[in-house]
Amino acid sequence: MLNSVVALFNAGAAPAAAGDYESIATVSVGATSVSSIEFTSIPGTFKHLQLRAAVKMTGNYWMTCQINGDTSTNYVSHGLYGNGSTVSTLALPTGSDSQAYLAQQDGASNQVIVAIIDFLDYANTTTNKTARCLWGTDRNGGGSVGLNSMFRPSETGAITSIKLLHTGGGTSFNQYSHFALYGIKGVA
Amino acid sequence: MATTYEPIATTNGTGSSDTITFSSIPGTYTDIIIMGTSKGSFNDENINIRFNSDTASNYSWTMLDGNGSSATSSRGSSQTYIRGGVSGTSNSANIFQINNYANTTTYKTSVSRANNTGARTRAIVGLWRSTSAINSVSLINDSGNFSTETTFTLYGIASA
Repeated sequence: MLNSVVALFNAGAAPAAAGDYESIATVSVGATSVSSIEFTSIPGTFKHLQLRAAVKMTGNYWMTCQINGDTSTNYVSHGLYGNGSTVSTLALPTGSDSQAYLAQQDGASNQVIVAIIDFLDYANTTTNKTARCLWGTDRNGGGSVGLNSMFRPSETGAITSIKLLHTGGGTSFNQYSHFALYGIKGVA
Repeated sequence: MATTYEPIATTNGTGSSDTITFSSIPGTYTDIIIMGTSKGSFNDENINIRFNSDTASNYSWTMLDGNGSSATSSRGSSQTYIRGGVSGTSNSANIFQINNYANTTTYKTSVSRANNTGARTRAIVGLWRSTSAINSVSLINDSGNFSTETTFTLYGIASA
């Protein structure tokens, strides 16, 4: 099988060269639900990261993230999403929350949420870090789809760990949840 | 670390068919992605998705759509397809992401980003209520045929 043209962000980026999209680590949730999952010791050898998740959660919550173990209110979140009839927006300025909002369960427990999150230029130490997420969940008569973003206005450190959690607390990532982190190389 | 994101197949429009199908998709990846540009016969066309040639009412979708004057959200329940993308007389960009496509335990969920430069941009989530592994994906233009300027490539991504 060919392996020559790879790595495209959700809409519009140019393909990268062979071997430039690599699997870094995967977490699958077994029969025992968990409250969070975390990718640690992320190597700084890529240009961008992509986290691809298929998640089953309990309750009507947002899946969120924290970077580098930072639990202070150093996150900005924005979202644009629709639930089949209404278009909504989300705006959480800095100082308002200790996590970035990525994807919403929207009303029904244990429906699969698909989220594709791009962390751009994650390893540099001079710019504030940003990420974007395309997410959706549908249950034949309900569900939502949206575009969210994260910004770290006061942090320029390289991203070395990403923790995924949710606004509900407790054990909420259920069996068959799957999280995979990939690295996308830049030009050497 | 394992290199992944492999092209599996590319299919081009013929000008005489409204359907592009990727079949015999191997089950060896974690996710599959179909991306490409499309062009059709009418200004504002939809691209619908079917899996494994299933034409029953096992699909649903939720959409976020903006056309330059308004943003709307709509839904289709118990449909015979997922409304997944767009096409038109302007070249349109579509990326369909199907996570965990080969598992035989859960229903299949896809997310798409699509824009018709002459009409609209969309984000769409779709559900196929089947636990079967996906081994074929059909993209169907609901208004006309895919022109010869249409090209889609199927990629596979395997996690560690």
